[in-house]
Amino acid sequence: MKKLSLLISFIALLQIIPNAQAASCSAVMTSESLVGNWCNNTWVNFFWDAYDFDSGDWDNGFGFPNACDTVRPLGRTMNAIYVVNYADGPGSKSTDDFSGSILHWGGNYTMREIDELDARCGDGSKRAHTQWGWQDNWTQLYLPFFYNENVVERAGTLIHESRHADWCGHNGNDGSNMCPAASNSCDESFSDGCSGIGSPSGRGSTGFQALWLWWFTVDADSITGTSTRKAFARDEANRIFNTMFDVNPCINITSSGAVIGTC
Amino acid sequence: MMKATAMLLRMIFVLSTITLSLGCSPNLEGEPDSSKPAPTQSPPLTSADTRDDQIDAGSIAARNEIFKNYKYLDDHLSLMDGFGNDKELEQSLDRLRNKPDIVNEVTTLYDILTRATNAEKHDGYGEARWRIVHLLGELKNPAARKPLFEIATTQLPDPKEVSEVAYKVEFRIRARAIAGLEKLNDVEQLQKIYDENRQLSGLAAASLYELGKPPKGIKLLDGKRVMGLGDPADFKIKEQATARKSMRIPAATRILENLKMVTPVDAVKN
Repeated sequence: MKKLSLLISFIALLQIIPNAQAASCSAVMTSESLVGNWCNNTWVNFFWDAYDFDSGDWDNGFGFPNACDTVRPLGRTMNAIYVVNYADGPGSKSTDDFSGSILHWGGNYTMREIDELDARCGDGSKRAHTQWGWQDNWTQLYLPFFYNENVVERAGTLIHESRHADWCGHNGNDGSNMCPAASNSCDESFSDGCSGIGSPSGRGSTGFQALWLWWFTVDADSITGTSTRKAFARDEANRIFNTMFDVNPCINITSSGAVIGTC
Repeated sequence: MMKATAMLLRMIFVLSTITLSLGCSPNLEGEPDSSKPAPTQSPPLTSADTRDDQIDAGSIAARNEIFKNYKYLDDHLSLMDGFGNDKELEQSLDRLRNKPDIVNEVTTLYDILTRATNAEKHDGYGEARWRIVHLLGELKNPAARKPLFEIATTQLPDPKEVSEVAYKVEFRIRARAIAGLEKLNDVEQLQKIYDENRQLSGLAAASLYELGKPPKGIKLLDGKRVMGLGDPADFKIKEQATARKSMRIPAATRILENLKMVTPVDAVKN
């Protein structure tokens, strides 16, 4: 009977221990220039709170306690947060200002929709993942986000993930007309990209990302929009237009930022 | 014995039911629940409970070995990153343009990084390779025509056989090479890419348009009308519980403090 009790206790214990799995990873860490004047207590603490960072998700080498170290993931994320919030200029704005183009309100959108930003190793196949719905909402950022994306691309990724946090799932790479990239991050078309219960209609995460990148190419200010970053934004937007929609949008961006119909 | 076995099975059933209802199942997100909306993305790679991930700095030796003979190019790539402004970048570009064999040196570095990428099977040099191709075009040296065309027309990998990161890196590099040919006013090679390469024809068309030679049927669109401003939609009722109050984001117009380190403070949570 005693042995039976022990066995039952052991089985019960197996059921209730949470399956926590810590991961270890490494990355070749190079430095990145600070974009804008953000390394100060006022700025860092504002956005630390706005995106609901937690020190427990950003320690163990991910950057905490120094938010300004752009060698580490935290500093690189803060750099991207600067770009997405200030690409239209370094002035202040209200967080509920959704006027103008996505370049103006994109940062506010990311703060409104993303519930929390967490750093993780990941398995190398994805740069980020957002969980939404009637459950704990979060956005995890992985190694490719930190070290395979430059600051412009990371800003675009924040826009992308915030659309997911808005309950918009991808609806592409399906049927008989799959996107050229054969990626689960594809949308059906530039104007139709959301699916899932409770999802909004209209443009999806990939469409939002491409839109933001075009606006960056044409309208980013001189601090965020250096000539190299704008050139990259253009190539990244064109990559999305050419490979990430099931229905070809038939548009490309020229070197002067013009939009041409290519079908 | 039978009675004890039945009791054991009953205990297991009861305990399982209790623990599942407490949300302690390790596969919480993997279990479909028809009463709740399921996200349409694939399940997360790591549980949100894994807060003890550790990251270490990997060895930079391989990168340093590649760049040890190309420090002057590495410095230029840093300026492209923003360590310096566009004026300093232009001055550096002028110095490079005056080097007699610069196209060959830049192309050699590109080849070294590409071979390293293929050999080591990682995408860590994607950014550097893109910047090098950008530099090739910026040099505006006729000798760059051939390597730019070769880069642009190197076959793209099959996206089903490489990572998503690798595919997009390779696509962007070809896009940048096409932009480089545009800088050299190379209508002939751009036309060839447009005629022969379906995947990149849109990019070639964009360059031909800028050079005043748009292919038949290519037309300028009203960019702001076609793209639109974007629609953030209204804040949803379902999110009211977590709504943050309206605030003003701090201006970043001047350096408030000349700091190298800032430690953020976790908010007090109720």
